Amino acid sequence: MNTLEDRVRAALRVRAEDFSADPDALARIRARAQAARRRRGGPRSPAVGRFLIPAVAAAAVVAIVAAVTVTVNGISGRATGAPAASAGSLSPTPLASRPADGLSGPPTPFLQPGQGSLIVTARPPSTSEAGPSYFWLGGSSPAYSRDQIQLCHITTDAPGGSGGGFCWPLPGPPAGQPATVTGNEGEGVAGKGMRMAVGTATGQVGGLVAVSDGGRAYPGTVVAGSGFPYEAWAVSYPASSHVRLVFLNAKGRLAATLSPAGPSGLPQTPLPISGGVPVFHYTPGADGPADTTLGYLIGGRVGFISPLRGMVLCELPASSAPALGALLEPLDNFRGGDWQPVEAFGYAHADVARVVLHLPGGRVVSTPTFVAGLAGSDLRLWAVPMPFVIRNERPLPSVTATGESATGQVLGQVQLGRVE
Amino acid sequence: MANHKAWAVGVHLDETYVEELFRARYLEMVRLAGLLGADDPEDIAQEAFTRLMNKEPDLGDAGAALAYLRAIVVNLTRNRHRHLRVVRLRGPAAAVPDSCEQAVIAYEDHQEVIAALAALPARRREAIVLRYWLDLPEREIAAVMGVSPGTVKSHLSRGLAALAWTLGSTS
Repeated sequence: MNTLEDRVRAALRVRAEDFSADPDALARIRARAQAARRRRGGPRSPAVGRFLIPAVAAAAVVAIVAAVTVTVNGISGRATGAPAASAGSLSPTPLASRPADGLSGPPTPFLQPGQGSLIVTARPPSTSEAGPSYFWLGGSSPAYSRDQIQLCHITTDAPGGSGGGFCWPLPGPPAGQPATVTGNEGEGVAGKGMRMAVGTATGQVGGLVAVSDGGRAYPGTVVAGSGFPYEAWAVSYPASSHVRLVFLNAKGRLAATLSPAGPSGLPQTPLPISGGVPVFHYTPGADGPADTTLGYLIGGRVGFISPLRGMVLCELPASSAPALGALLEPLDNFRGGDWQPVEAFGYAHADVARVVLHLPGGRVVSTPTFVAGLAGSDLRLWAVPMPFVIRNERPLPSVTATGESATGQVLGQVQLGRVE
Repeated sequence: MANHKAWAVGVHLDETYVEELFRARYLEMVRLAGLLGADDPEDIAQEAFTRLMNKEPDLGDAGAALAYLRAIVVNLTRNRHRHLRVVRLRGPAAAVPDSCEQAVIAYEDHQEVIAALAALPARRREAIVLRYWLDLPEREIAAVMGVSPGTVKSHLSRGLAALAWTLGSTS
């Protein structure tokens, strides 16, 4: 027997003993199943592929919304900008054109991340080890219906330059109920030592508060996104507290009391988002369908969101030093059953005309930056495919990005970080 | 470890059947999610059973319900891991239990192996956990992961090589 295999077996066997089962688990499962059936309006869910996970399957067929100009709640997104990569095995197509499977028709009601429909602007102060976390209402389809509303979330990482995000399903409250709990997240989302309940409410709910057994109150937030048929709410509270959620109507009178228990987030592949600046286009192929990565300015930080490949938010405020920010392999690059060549994305200050990437082996790749046109910002963006695949190498490939002015003056330099 | 009990052919997913499956397999699903790095293994396991309970009533053949459960656990954990990995990496280390010196040494070795596993890309970790904890054959691992047996071989081989490299460099 291989010694390494023995060590792995033994370690897994011992580690498995750390996990135990909640004696009330079956009751919770029954309740969740019933709630899911109620939301779907029937005793059984529609058939899905035998071994496909619905979230993954949905993501695979979801239509892509990109390169459309929309204005929602006064927030505008735009669809211009064409970074030109000068090297690489992945070639971004001109982004002035729409993706092949992009959608035509009227603008969708999806809202920009971090703005307009913002529910929670930051993690609680007690979680200062992590960066801010943003939540917004989104949709999973341009058709837009009650069942396709999502609460999306993106957060930063500590040093390393990026974080991640995902979206929850956010179905409306059952008929006759003023509010419902659609999710309950632990500290991965809510912050260290905290939990966060999220859900939906009808227009008769004006506010909510989580009240602990000891009488302490933790106020929540209720928002109504433009075009959305119901309200969304969120409230954070200490994980150690046993709380109940008290919903109030516009007159401050009790509308409902609910337990905060709900399904933990069922993360789905990030879904179409309105607005944003197309940064990188993936052509359809064996490794997946067409996709476009969009750039956003979220709370002063640049975020990149791909409907099929993930979300990432830069750690540092974009206006601060250094003059550029860069992410290597920021999004999921395991596609089509194998690791695919990675990309580098980033932003740059207005005077950075070109980003030069120094790769392992002495190779140099450069790409011009382009004016992003992000509202209230003169930031520029850039993207370039890397001529290599990152699998599980340690140490990671060393890539340095240098921002240069139009005259070749070096304005800033950063070491690219990896998200994995 | 794994108890490959054969479930009835032509499984009908009434709640009684799901409850039987729950009693036999719930803890296994919690542990599978935990070993794959889920931040809330119970929630993953509960969601898997919830989906099974609400699935179309006929899963077809023996073992399909169990494979379906495992596939849900693997996929949900993979998705959560993708986005919450930072939190997990920063999680406090478990306290070393009071024990004799030999036990402590063994515990530390397990911790090293688990840490090295956690650093693997998700699919390699999945293949290794399914192979070396559940003792599944490559064909069943392939079904759970939704890949070909050849891809499973590749994940296992590369995963073990990465573990050997990591453990070799830390020991």
